[in-house]
Amino acid sequence: MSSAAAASRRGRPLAAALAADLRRIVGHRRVLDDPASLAAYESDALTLYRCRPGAVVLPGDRDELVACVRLLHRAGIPFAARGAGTGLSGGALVPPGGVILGLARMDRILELNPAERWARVEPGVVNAELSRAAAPHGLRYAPDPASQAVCTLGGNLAENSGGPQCFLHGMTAQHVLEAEVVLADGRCERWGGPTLESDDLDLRGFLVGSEGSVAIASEIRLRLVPLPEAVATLLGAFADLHAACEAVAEVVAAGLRPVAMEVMDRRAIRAVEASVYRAGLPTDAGAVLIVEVEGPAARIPEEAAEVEEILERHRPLRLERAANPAERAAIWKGRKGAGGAMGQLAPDSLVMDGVVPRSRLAEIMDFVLRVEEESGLPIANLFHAGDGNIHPHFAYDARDREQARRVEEAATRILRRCLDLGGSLSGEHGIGLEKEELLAEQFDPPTLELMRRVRRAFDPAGLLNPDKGLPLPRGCAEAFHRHRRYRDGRA
Amino acid sequence: MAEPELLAPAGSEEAADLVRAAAAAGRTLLPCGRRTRLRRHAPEARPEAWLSLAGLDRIESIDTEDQTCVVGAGVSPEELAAAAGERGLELGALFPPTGGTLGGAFLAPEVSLLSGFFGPPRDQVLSADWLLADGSRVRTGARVVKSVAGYDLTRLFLGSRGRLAACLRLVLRLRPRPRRPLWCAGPEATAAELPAPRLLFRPPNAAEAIALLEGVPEPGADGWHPIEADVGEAARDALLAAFAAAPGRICLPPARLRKTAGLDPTASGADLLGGQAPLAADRLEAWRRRPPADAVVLPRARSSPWLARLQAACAPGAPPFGGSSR
Ligand SMILES: Cc1cc2nc3c(=O)[nH]c(=O)nc-3n(C[C@H](O)[C@H](O)[C@H](O)COP(=O)(O)OP(=O)(O)OC[C@H]3O[C@@H](n4cnc5c(N)ncnc54)[C@H](O)[C@@H]3O)c2cc1C
Repeated sequence: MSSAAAASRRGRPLAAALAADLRRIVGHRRVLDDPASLAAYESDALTLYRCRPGAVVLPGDRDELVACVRLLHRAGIPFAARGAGTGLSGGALVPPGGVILGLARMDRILELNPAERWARVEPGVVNAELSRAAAPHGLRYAPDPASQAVCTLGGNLAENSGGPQCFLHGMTAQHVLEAEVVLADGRCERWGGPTLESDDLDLRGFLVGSEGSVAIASEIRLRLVPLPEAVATLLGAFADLHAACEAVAEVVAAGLRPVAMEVMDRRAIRAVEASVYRAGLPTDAGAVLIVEVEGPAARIPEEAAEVEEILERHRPLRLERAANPAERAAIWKGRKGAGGAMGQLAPDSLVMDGVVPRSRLAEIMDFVLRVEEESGLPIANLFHAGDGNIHPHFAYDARDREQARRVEEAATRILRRCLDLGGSLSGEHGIGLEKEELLAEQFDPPTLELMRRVRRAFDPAGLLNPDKGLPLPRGCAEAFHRHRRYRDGRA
Repeated sequence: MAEPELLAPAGSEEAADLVRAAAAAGRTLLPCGRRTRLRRHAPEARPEAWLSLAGLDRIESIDTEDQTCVVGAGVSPEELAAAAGERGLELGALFPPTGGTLGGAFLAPEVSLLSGFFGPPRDQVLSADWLLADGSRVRTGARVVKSVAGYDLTRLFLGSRGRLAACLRLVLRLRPRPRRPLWCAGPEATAAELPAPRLLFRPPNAAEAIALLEGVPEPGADGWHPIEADVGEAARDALLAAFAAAPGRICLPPARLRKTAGLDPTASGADLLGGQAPLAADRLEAWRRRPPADAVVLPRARSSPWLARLQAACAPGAPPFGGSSR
């Protein structure tokens, strides 16, 4: 390990005076700077990148957050917000000596307006909590990432997160009405308004998905949608991935609008069935396709039948309809637990996130199988098929450097293929540290340069979640070192 | 003051040349389409010349499998509707037939009567090619229905009313045309209140929903399907007029209709037809017949203090599109 890497592993402590000032704002115990506490914050759910922050500060409300940001800005210390740390692109990391602003304590639902169907929340509210609070009013928060039991709405906003239901209901961007933001220098503004339509610059829309580098959301107003009157959940088992993907393409082409269309391959099914998320999925199938339709009770049987008719044409081994809410819940528990189940297969995992045009889904999955064969790495697949958003999942041991390198190489091959097929490097996990270099293959230099200039317009000092989301200009020697700094943080 | 000159390039290269020449001469341009809604969306604009992108009017491709299309910014919504319709597709946004361009409709934030189904119009734009005020070209977004790679400059530019960038080309998401007649009921209309054959589909977010009523059996004598009874006469007429050229028939839940037709000034889309109060029949008639360039004057858009900062970021050193904003 190089000496620079060792330094980033140990971390660089915050100046004592600054730590004391931060403690005065949030209280003594809310500033973490002992090695044991900091270790928990050195990575997010993408463990390939690690870097120990100088300190972690846990503000309890907007005013404390603003005071911390002002202080850090004045001191020229880089900082980033963190929700639950479930991000999968290395977003909630700071360079050595930087400060993490952990927002988990800002977890109040401030207002719930059932008549107008929105809720005003602090950013640390956990995704599933909002739906739970809205349920008595016959409402829910639609975007449902598989991590919803843990991840925060602030993190969702930053990543423009998706979930199975986003096929019908749209991503987080379609649900954030308004945000109160804290800019890098501590100024507060309100972006957005009571509806998604606006007659002004869409700063709200720009904020969503900006990976915590434009502003920190200190309060968010979110749309709620009614709970469906009726739901039908179909589970088709297919001999292979290819057949499942072709069935998906046909449902899309037919103009049906299910809420969700999710595919899991054999490895994913088996991981689930071997775990606490057991859902009774057919372990002999090459792939399962979950399709859910929702709407008025009078319509649903017919709509479900239409989907079934299409799935039948693709020769499923089995085709079932959940008979009751318990069966439906089991299917979703299996799907949403699959990530966790696979995480238990090995010490580390890399969940790749790429998008292809929907007509190329079967093609990209064939390519993933080829990469699996050629690389000798087991790859499990579970993905948002309706949107062409794939998630090849690598289970590996990062202590084995050679294996880690091969995993990265394989993931990069798949991502490049997504681009070749006219797709995108990320559908919902973001660029973060993971893909910033590859971004130069998706956007041309003038567009990347424009993104850098726009970022500087919001944060001229470059302190808010630096080093993420955008590659440094080509040929810049610093780029290499900056990347290494996070990577070699791992001993 | 003399009328600003109208620059009307026939293609992207020519447009870029014109912008570069203007930048070199320190001359301010404001991108536009056919200028059908300028009074509403750029009321204070006084550029030295207009840069009309209406000449970029080619539908480059419509991909029926992926349900996307690539169109020049000068294509009109009606042209796209016709071409997509032949392939069983439609745009998930429906604009009043002003005779304008898609570039104009997307750049000046417009209310679409399909928002309840598909989100606001800008959600239909997957990717776009832009000309910045210094003449450089960028491409934002990706040609897939879901992408979070890089900053969402598409959204930023779409709401900028041409002040940040001129739109050359759009990649739009298309939707299959409804397979069956759609009717969507607001929360206040229950299944029992609606005639049975019409309650065929109710999207989950019905409060905001608007539906295309296409092919519903037994239209009224006027060719329109009756809209629920408690909707004001004027509002109803306004709506019918606004969407006369639409491929289908529109119906709104009453609360939404009231808002959209301008009866509730605080509502989103209150400016759809320009009125804060119910439109009188004569005013409506005038609106219906108005020459395209003479839209009803609407409240001016708020000007964000971010505009100037972002203009400087988009094309440092060049005179910003639309002139500098305060
Ligand atoms: C098992 C598992 C399953 C997952 N499934 C999905 C899925 O189905 N769909 C999906 O989209 N993602 C999924 N993810 C990824 C992850 O859960 C999402 O990206 C989530 O939105 C991150 O939320 P968080 O609170 O953990 O954010 P963090 O990881 O803490 O932070 C993520 C980013 O958000 C920024 N941020 C956090 N809070 C704020 C704020 N208030 N203001 C501004 N920026 C902020 C951070 O700086 C960072 O850049 C999954 C992750 C795991 C581990």
